[in-house]
Amino acid sequence: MKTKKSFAGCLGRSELMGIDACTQCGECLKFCPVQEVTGDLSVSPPEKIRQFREFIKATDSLKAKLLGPDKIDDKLLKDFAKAVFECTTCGACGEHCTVGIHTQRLWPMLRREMVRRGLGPMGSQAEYPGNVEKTGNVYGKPAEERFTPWFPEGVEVAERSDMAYYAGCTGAYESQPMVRGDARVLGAIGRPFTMLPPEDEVCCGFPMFITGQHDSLEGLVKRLTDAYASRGVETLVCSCPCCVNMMSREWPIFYGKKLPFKIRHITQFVADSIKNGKLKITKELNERLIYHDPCYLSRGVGVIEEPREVLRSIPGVTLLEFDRHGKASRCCGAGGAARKVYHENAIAIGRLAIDEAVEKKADRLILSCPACYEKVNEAMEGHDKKVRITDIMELLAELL
Amino acid sequence: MGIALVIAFYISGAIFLWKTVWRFVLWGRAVSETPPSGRSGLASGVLDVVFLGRLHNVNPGLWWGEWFFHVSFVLVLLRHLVYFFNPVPSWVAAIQPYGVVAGYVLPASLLYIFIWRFAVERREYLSYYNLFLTLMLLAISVSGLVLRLVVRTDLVSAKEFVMGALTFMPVRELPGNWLFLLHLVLVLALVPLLPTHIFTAPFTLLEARRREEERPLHED
Repeated sequence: MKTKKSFAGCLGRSELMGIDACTQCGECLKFCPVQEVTGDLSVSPPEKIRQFREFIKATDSLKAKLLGPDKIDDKLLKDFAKAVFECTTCGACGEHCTVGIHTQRLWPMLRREMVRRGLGPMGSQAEYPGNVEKTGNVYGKPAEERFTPWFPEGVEVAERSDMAYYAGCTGAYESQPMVRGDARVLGAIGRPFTMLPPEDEVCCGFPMFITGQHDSLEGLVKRLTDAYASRGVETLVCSCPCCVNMMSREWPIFYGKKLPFKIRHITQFVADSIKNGKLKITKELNERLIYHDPCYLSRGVGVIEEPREVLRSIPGVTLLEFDRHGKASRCCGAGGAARKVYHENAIAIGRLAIDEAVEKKADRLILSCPACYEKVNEAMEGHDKKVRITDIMELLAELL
Repeated sequence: MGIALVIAFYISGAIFLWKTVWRFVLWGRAVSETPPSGRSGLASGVLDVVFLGRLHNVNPGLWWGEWFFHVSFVLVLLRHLVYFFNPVPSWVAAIQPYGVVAGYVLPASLLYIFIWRFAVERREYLSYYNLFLTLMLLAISVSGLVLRLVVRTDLVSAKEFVMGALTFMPVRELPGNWLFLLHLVLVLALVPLLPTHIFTAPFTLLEARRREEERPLHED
């Protein structure tokens, strides 16, 4: 393919400098979950960066400007697109990068470039924008079913409040025990909170952002931000790490200015409520719990201690740690919207978490991300090792 | 032959300069989507740059070789400024003893890196570009050391050659001996191949620290 479209065109300065900064040392390979289960070096982070440098040279070097762009092999481009979309965007490579490249943002930007060239998104990812436009969620499920199947009876939702709760699409449609737990815990704390009606609580934009389909994002972000602002919201609470990451890191960019409210992960709000006595956990739980840090919560926005504070506040609990935890945690396989497309990788990666939890003799594997919840549960089907999987708020709600 | 070396000198410098300018233009044209940096994480970021802190965290064994390599490379480079100035500035003169010691450390650190990567860690991933650069730097540093210890060369003619090329009044005679010529040709071949991270890695390291310390969910 001979293309005049610049490969550098849709990258920001930080991404371009990140691509140039890679030393090809290969240290990141030790932490890449896709490498761990596929062993395919062609999809490794340094190889993707090396290849993309070649693409930039082909369209943006002096030679390309004077004599025309170099021909790029179609297969090479397709293989590159597959490698970029096969990634779970967990950011472990960037966390362990010797020069600190922000790969959790770089990979989605390279995906955007592939989408611009018609080489992405992959499989069902292409349906996301259309589904969101029609139904408000990426799964194309009816908006009226967003809350009713799981929202607990007896929990009050205020019309207006300084605090709002955003359930998110994956929680609401695919990991309902998790969001039911959120609502029950919020209800128990007793601080009034508001929610948007189901037809207005649309997708936060993360699935489109992560798959490089950015066209509708500005509209979505403005719609949601203005809706919460109009209800007097000062703090927006959410339990989905991907939504929280999108809201705090990307929304201000698409909104064009600072958001009119703060974003908080639900474990932050709950940990504060436990500290100031608004939530008391009285029931005992004599179990060994192992907590898995979601990539977009720990590496993404640095929420590491609060979930542990919440779990330690449960009487009788013994808290275990994965070998790789906190910012160094290993992806569960569900990230980067790759779980539905590269299903086998996701299952194999998810089983690594299950195996370690079983090896450490945990009674429960505690998750705090709807995508992890959905995929790790799926990974356990047909697997020879078993551990009870519970979301952190689902667990707390059981003990109220 | 002398004039061919002068032409190589200019070509090498021109390619390096062009590649550098091209990169800066590319970065300059790109939009900056992230908010302005501020100063958070600056001090720890600078420490990361000077002491290669992130490498130390992920691979302490390799860190020894890499840190000594980078420091000795800079010192050797600064020591060679003696051939680029007339009169020689006092700080360049002051750095000479350190540069001499660095001249021994440089090949030793490269050998260490080589052994660590290939014999101790037995890496699966191999960048041929890195391997080529390592071997090239090893050849340059070893030839430089041999020039200092065994096959002495005429440094006056070497300086005349460099100064002549720099002032666009090239000397036609070949400087030094065969080993010096080999050393110089390898350096001229290395200059256009210098990795781009020498410009960008300090930036990404500072940015990484800023991101770590920003923590948007913990702001009031």
